[in-house]
Amino acid sequence: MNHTDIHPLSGGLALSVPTNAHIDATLHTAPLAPQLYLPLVDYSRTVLQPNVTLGQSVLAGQSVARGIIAPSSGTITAYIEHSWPHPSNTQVPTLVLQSDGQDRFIPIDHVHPLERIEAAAVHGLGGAGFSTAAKIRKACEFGRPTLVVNAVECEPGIACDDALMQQQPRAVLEACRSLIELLGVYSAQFAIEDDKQLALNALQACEPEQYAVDIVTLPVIYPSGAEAPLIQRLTGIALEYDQRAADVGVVCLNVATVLSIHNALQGRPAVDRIVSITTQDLHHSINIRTRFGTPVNALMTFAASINPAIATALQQNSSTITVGGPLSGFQKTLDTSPILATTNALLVGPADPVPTPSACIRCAECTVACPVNLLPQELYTAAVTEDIDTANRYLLDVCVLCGCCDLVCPADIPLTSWFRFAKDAKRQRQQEQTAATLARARSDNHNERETRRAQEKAEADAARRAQAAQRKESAADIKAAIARAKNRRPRS
Amino acid sequence: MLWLALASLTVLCLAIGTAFAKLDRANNAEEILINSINDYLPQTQCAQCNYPGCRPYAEAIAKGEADVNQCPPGGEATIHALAKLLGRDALPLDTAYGERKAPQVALIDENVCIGCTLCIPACPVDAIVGSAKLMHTVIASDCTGCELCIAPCPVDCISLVPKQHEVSAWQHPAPGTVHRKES
Amino acid sequence: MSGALTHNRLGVKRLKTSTIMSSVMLALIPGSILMVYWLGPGVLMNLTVSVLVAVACEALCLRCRQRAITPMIADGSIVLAAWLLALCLPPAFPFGPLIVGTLAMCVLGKHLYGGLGQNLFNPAMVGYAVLLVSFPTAMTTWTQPGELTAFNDTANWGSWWALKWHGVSSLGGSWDAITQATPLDHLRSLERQSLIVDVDALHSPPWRALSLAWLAGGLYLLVRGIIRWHIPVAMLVAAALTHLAYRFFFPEYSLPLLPALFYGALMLGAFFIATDPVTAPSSVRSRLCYGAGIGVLSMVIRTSSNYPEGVAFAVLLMNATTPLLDRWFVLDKRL
Ligand code: SF4
Ligand code: SF4
Ligand code: SF4
Ligand code: SF4
Ligand code: SF4
Repeated sequence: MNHTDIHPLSGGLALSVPTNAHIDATLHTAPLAPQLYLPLVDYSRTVLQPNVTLGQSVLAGQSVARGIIAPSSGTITAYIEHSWPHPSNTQVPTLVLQSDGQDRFIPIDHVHPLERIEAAAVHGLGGAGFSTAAKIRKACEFGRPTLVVNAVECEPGIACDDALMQQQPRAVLEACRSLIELLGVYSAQFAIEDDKQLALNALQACEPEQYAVDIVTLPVIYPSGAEAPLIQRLTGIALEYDQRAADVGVVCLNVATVLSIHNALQGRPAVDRIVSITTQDLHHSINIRTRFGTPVNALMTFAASINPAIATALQQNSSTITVGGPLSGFQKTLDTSPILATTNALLVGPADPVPTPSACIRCAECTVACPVNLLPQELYTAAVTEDIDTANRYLLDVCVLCGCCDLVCPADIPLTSWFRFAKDAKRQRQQEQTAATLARARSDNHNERETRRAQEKAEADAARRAQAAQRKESAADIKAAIARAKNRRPRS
Repeated sequence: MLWLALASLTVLCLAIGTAFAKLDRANNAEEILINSINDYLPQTQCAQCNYPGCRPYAEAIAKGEADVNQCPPGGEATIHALAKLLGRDALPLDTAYGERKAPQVALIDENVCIGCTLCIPACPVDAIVGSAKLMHTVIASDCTGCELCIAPCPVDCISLVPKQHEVSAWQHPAPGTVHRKES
Repeated sequence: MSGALTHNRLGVKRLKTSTIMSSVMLALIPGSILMVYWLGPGVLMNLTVSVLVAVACEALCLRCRQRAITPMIADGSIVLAAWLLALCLPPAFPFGPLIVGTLAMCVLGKHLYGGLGQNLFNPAMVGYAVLLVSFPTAMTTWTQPGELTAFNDTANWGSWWALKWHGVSSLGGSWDAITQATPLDHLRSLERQSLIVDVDALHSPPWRALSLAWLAGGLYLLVRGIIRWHIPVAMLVAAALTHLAYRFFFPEYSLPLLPALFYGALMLGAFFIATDPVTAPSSVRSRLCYGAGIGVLSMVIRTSSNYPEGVAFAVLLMNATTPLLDRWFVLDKRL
């Protein structure tokens, strides 16, 4: 496929990174930290129960809670509330793993490949961190799904997939082939932006046709790596407002996730990922393969030791970092929060100051920029007034939180933050409503039963009283009969 | 002529008005109103509003006996929804009835429970299971956190704990709003 | 902002609200100068009074609504609205009604809806419509360019000042002679009487020059990326087609196409009024539809009604359809 076969994306932005940016595509490996932190929270922020005990020694790949595995071998030394990389700035129940430095792995030998992927705890390394096995299972309900490998990585400042493809092109292609075999499809569409020339060259040199991989180059536009816009561009299918890719029979997986799946099928659990560490001005970037659970500050120290520009940026602002890219990221204090599957990038150095918003002038710049054809200005009004019904009518669920509308808004309105807020408010309201409906049904049930019981009791009481009265009456009858008998006796 | 017109108009208005009022009442309007009010109440069934449950409170509001700001679990959101539904003013929550708390559930200390069954009928949503002389337990997903089971327990083994971890309840905050005059 | 970096670091071109407003004002300057030069000091008086009253009224409204005053005035939106209103008024329009119209624009057209960005109707056109229905004669009495309108003759200023306070009748004689109906109105009545129209005899070159000035301003805005082409182009094309249709079906409308487009407020409307971001729809298709609607309606109103010019009412009518168009073209195609 070339550009002309690709469905156009309406909206999106051409973002430019500094032309003199120095992206180091070498894959460094972070040293194994002595203490690894494992937050027991899943992607929907539900707290999980640990299934290991304090003092228990575990092997790398051994399950410590549902969907969470130990990233290295060692001893569980503590179960504490600990910070984690999340915009909430909360602390969550976390297991501390004292690694023994031997890095012994538990073999993954489930027969069924999906079980193997599940046991290896493969999660999406692109964004949301969904369980990959569940995603594949869902899409397989369609018989033969379409396989899309997402190597678009469109947000500036993030180069972890780029580095992976440059350094290990053959492994990537082999991973694609084993996924093709697993799904029973004919080929994979491998989407990559046309400015990643080095990665493209590396892949082409390995003859992707032999792996049944169809490389699709996309013109650079943000956010074509987001799932819904990507599927729209490749297949022409516009996802309905309540659909995910799996619902239309598309398996859309990030390229690093595909490699993780391949490793899982080979018996190696998903214990690490590549993290891009970039200066806030986007001039310098390095990529480090990091164990999950490694404290962010330890990783930062390592990064500073191999790249002087990052060391300088760290000195300028050593208290806060941005977790994620320059558009999707959030500010976080630099502490021992662990690296998770979703931590694709860390930005160091001072962030831009937040401008003061003014009134929306309905200029519709945001509408033009929105990659999924929403009316952000209408959504914004609905979000400010917390009018969830109106927000739904303007398709709040479709928003992919890409941040394009923020960037073009002449009134400096933090639109995306408002949509995050509205999405959470909506979720909250839905939960409350479900709970209320349940409670109402149960309460009606309870009241009905109590009324019935009271009624039955009253009826029973009445019956008893009537019986007693009757007994009295019959007693009187007997007395009368005896009296009559007595009266009769003298005559006989 | 003028008077005739005025009189006939008045009669007409009265007649139509009465007819509509009748119609309105005939179609069990009150029942419908009570149900729609009840739909907005949180169904915690805690009786903090001084009525024995959400529906009785809905009935009282529909009759005009109660204000819309007496339900602490519902908080401001419920008050606003009810005020909008009924065309009344949205008053702030009357804290005489209690304050809005974070969602909670009851937890029975199973080592202490003597199995007296007193808490079972107290629970308005049947969230407690157990039978005589046996340990009782709360089905956390059904419990509304209404606190009504606390008082009847003779050994005080029921306590309320937060329904979920802070992180599960966390929401992205609203960013700062447009220019307002600082006051 | 959601992330850590702002647009300028990511190479995204973005305008600020104040830049948008000031660029539009910049684009209005050539036409305004031409109008002042040609129609006399009255235009300048209209502009000054309208802008001053509007700013004062805006400040008062913001104060009553407890909003911050300075940033909202500094963004220039109210000055721009007052400016546009003043450009639509006859030079001899008295101060009293002018103030009324400006207040209507500010309060009725803007703040009753909730201020900047919330209004459904274009505020300047709301002000214009209020004036047109309340003071029909004054609104349709235009002074002919001539001696009295000479801008550099300071002797004229005094009589203009008096005229603006007391109305045309207060001056009598020489002034009566120079008043006429709106050029378009005049043109139309000539057409209705089946008089052969000599377009150039109607002082059309100055009017044409004025329209060209608006057109030039509009092109500047297009080049700067302040407005997009869809609304003006759709509006002008639709207006042209409507005019041709009229000429085809009713031969008595004999005005050629180009003078028809360059007469009246069509150019000003297409580039400066219909493109008002607040009241125009958002997507390409809804904008094309909106522009075309204004084009057709303004020609129909201009030709078939008793009003001298149709742009204002056409804009107001299409403003009312904006939410509907947005829903149709942006959202419903997804559902
Ligand atoms: S870009 Fe900003 S000012 Fe323009 S319509 Fe969107 S939210 Fe409003
Ligand atoms: S954040 Fe949402 S509304 Fe804004 S441009 Fe992206 S998808 Fe559209
Ligand atoms: S206070 Fe609210 S939740 Fe509790 S019973 Fe009354 S209406 Fe229901
Ligand atoms: S278990 Fe207790 S707190 Fe929970 S709903 Fe029942 S009575 Fe209320
Ligand atoms: S009232 Fe208390 S002691 Fe009795 S069954 Fe319930 S929890 Fe147990």
